[in-house]
Amino acid sequence: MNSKRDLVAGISFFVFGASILYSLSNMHVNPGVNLVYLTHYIIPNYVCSVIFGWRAYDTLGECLVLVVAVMVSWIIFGKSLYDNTYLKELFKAPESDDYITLHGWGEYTPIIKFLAFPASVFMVALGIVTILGGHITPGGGFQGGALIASALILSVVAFGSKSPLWFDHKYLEKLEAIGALTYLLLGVVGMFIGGYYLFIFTSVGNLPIFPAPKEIVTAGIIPYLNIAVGLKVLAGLSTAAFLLSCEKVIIERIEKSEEILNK
Amino acid sequence: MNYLPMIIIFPLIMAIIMNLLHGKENIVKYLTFLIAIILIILPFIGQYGYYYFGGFGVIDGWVSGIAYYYNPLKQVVLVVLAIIASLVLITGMGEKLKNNMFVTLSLMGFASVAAMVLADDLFNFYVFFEIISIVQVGLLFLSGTEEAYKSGLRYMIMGNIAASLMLLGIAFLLASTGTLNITDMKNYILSDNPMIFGGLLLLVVGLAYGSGLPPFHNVKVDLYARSKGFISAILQTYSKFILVGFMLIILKLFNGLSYFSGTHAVLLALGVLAMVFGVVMALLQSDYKKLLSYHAISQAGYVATGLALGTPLGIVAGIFHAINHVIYKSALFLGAYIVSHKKGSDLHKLGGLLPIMPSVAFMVLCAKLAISGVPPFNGFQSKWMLAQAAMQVNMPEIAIIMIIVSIGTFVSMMKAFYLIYLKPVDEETIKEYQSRGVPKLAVFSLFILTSLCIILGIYPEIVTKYLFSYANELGVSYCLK
Repeated sequence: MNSKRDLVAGISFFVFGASILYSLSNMHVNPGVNLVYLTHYIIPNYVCSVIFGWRAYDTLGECLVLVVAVMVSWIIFGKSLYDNTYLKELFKAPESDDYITLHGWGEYTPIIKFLAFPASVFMVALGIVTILGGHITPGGGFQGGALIASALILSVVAFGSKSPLWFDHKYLEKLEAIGALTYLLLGVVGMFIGGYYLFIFTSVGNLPIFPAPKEIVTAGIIPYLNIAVGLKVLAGLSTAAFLLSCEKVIIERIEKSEEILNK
Repeated sequence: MNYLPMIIIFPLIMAIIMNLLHGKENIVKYLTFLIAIILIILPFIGQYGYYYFGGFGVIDGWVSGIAYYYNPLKQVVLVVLAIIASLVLITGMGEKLKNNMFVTLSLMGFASVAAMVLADDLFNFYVFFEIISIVQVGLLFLSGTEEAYKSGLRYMIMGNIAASLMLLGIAFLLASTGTLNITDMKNYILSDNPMIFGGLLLLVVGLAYGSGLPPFHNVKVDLYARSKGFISAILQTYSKFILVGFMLIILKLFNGLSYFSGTHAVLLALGVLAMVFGVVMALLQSDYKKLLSYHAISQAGYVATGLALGTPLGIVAGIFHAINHVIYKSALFLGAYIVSHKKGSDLHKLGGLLPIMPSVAFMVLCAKLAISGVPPFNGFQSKWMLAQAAMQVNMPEIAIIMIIVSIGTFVSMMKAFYLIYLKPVDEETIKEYQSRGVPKLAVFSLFILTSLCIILGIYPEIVTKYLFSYANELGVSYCLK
């Protein structure tokens, strides 16, 4: 029985893979709309001009994927559940032998601590530069935000709960919301100024929206969109890391939601 | 100025604000009622035609940015989506916990399904496809049981595979045509290129996952059956309209091309298989929610078959059936939610609810007759149109299967009605029933949905007259010899 099933799965996998490879073997790439992206100038960084200029609305969607994923992670760990008996059982179960705690693990050597802190400070600085210079140099909001979040994770891994670099989870939630709302509302402002959602306006009245030297074409709202995405990515990834490492806060949350449910 | 994007942007902004209001129950409650009213107004503020984001219109003969396309057909779909979403939001406020995350995720889901229906750009469609698959799992997790966690995880694993295959398909189409805009792309896929065919194949995988057609029907059924009743109502609405949006895109791109006939047969087969599998599995179930969930799959098969026929009448019938289906199936799920307040959803333990809540029983009976295709309810009108469309292209076997599946639906629905409302029970159970209340807001929503069932059953043309113009544009008339 089982071997027949394996056989059927194997054959269908083979047919599926062969058909995909066959269609790949006849590839003729048509440059198409990419020529338009290369010949019409918005900002010096072409990748950034596609992401935040031509296809800014897709970027909004991609960010919202991250926002929703973080919200759902919060729900998995007990935020606003209609019934949390199962989760309570799970968290109050006695620890088994393969369960790694800080006591069982011990602390890292001073060498790691000595290196981790300066490294994470530099990573935060590099992340900020990457976010702010996204429209003229390689990089942008996603990359910078991920750099800052990984600095936080590095520091938390090295120092545990005494980490010198630490964001409170409520602060992170607000940061993420600010990032997402900035992006959404900048688009609405563009709609009132230019008539289209996410219109790249370069000035309001006579005031340039992003000051730049005269030789460089001003980037309009793109740097602000970069900052919004950076905030959101940094908050989202840090929250995910935080949820995986902070059992205490989750148990507190479960108890608090119990009070509401039993009222 | 064209306010079309506000259909998506307004719910997204409100969703992010609602996320911050955790624990402030009164504000959540009143703000939700306000949002529920505004949602119904939203589909009327846009203008018909193409909308280019950021003003990046046609440059050098290519649509350079992201485009939306709005027309009366999409407006009707969005109005129905908004009505169901706001009724479900109102019902959700009848729970003891005024849940802000439920509101957030429902609004996110509304926005992404609306974006998928409106999208005229394949990658934009994919982005919102990703959001909706995470949102559905989040809504499932809200019920917090062990089964919910397990089936959510399974749905996510399947989703990873299906959505990445679909992304690969979009990459194939982008590579061989050089654009993502659907209106533009149609001009570059006329020739029979294996790469385009591979892209189409992979798009069909995404379609089956997003709308719960076989082979993905099991994960979808678990998704509906493990959620709370009113959340299942919104979940099945999402998947029906994902199906409609996806099929509209596939038809717009490929309908009428010579090499589409093979895929055409595959789509028809998927629809027929979903119809038959759904109803056969539903006859076996002893859990009321699971029974309803399998019927949701079966009805999705009707919608897919109608749309896959590809004729103007088939497209109209498919979309009309999708609209009718979300109305009566949401009513049934709300009925299941009201019953679960009394005593679970196990059919063998329930019974004797008719004297306790006669009005609810009557409304649920109306919805059950509608799903079985009995006149004068709306299900009859759309199933009638579907059978006509199948006969028009000379495929009487599909019409026959539809009628047999309808009979199966009727049998299992009447079985469930007997076991829940009519079966005699002892005194103690009746006392237990009387000690538990009925969620009043759910009864209100149920009333509105049932009256919509009857109105659409008597006057179907208030919906169908908006569908024909775009369906004539997409459809190709043909007849098998």
